[in-house]
Amino acid sequence: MFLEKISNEVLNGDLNDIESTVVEALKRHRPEEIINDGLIKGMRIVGEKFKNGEYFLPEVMVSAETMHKALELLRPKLENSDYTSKCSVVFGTVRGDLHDIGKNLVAMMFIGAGFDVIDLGIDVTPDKFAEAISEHKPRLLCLSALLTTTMPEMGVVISALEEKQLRNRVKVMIGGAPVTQKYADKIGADGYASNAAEAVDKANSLFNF
Amino acid sequence: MTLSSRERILKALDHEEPDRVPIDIGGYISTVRTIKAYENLKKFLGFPKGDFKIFHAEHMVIDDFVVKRLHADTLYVRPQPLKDRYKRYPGKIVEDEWGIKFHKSENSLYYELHEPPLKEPYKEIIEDYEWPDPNEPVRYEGLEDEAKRLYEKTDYCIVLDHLTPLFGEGLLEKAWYLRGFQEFLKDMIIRPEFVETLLKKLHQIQMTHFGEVLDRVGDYIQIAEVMSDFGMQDRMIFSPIFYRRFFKPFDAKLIEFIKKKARVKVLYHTCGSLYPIIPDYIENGVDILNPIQPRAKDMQSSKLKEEFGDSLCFHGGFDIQQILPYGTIDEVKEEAKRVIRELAHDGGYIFAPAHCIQPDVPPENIVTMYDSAFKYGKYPIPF
Repeated sequence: MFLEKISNEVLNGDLNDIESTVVEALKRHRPEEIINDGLIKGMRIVGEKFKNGEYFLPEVMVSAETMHKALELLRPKLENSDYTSKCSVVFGTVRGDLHDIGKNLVAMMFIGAGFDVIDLGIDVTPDKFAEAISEHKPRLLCLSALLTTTMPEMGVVISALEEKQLRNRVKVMIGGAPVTQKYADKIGADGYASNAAEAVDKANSLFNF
Repeated sequence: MTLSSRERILKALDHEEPDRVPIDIGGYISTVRTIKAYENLKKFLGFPKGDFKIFHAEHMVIDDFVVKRLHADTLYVRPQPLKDRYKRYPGKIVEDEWGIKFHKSENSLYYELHEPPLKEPYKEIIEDYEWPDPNEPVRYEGLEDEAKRLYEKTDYCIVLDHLTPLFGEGLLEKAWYLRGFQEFLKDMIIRPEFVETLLKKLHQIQMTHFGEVLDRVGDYIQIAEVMSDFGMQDRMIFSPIFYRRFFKPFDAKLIEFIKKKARVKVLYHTCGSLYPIIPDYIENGVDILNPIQPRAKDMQSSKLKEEFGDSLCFHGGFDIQQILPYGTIDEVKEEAKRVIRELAHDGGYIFAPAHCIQPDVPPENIVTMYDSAFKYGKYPIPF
């Protein structure tokens, strides 16, 4: 009952009630259960509603904030548990591009789907991506570009990873307004998605999650 | 019979077929971006390198000879930016007179929001905030003379550009620059009364600014441009319900006010997918919709023309996301024919790319686009 309530509160962006519900839920459930059967379940429905056009950006953002509020309460309790995220994912908008809304939205959906997200922000150089891969050892790198003029940087990042012999350590997914499957194929990216919910589906299928 | 540029556009905007499809270049939403790209274009056209003018963040003022060569029918008037109103900080950070900080990265074309000033979403803050004064005469120096000169000495259609120096963007942009994009979107759900108070304040400034401008140029312009970007590639940013609740009433008042002040057609620029609110625009008195982004969801030109063409004119439509930057010469020609075929019958259409032209677009594609619009745009359209 509490898990369903949490899932619904995420879905409805119920910022006022989520904390007290999580506190109550912790009396009966393990934190990992609350994450998997409450938060992730709620965010999955948010993702579906975004995909089918029922939800717009404000609803997704308030749902994500509700999820974050719950996660803040739950994270300290996970330290001694056997909970593990699906895998780490490094996110960033490529060099020369300062746009972060689309990338943030995709990152939110990944957190909501149980991935561990490391967000490098905007205007990220190929070297910074490479460093982050060495440091955080993610299984997936997600690159964002909004402009036709910055999209070629995605190919530059992939070449840089090849040069530094890091390419075979991560899958690379790309997205953003000008990006197409054709472009993803051209630069040898492992995946492309046209929206946030599809990106999560794609990542799940890349790793058979 | 060959019409003058002004006659051509006015006829098209009256939903009649003029001699050929009118063409626009040079506005905030239809110009060439960056000095280098503009010089490349001039060189390609065989014009000597010379002076250039920028009206906003490397948006180029298109010289009259380029306007003429590319068969365009428009010239623009706009208030000039006041250089002393910008504070500059290290790292290419600029603060405007709204207290909004923007940042441009080394490799980027665009100034992006760096730091929004309204961090606390309380209604009281809005009254206490130091807003810019839209009544200052210095903002409008030379504007009336320039509009009068263009109107009397040329036969181009004179367009009032987006008011970029003070209020170039719409209510939505100004609101989210002040609050931050994600914060503002969340505000719409979490604290709608704050949103209403903020938009009301911004709307007052916007109306006063428009009033000052139109008192000076109203007799000379034929089109006035307003904007807010409500669309994304695959849907609106927020639901049509939010548009109707928060923005539509202000849009209605602004458009009514503009039309009272001047005998103009109002062009509304809103990027991306916005099909669900097009009837609201028509109800609000919008005459011309721009940019008709062909790859955005539900924005296919032929469908929009069929459904709304009787009451709405269209401006833009040429694909800039794929064909203009990456297309072959033949693909550019075909795209020009496509938009003309889908939008130009019975008038009601001004040819333009579906946004300003980015610097990675080859000059030959730019010239082919306008030459094709000129060549294939002769009425009656035979294809």
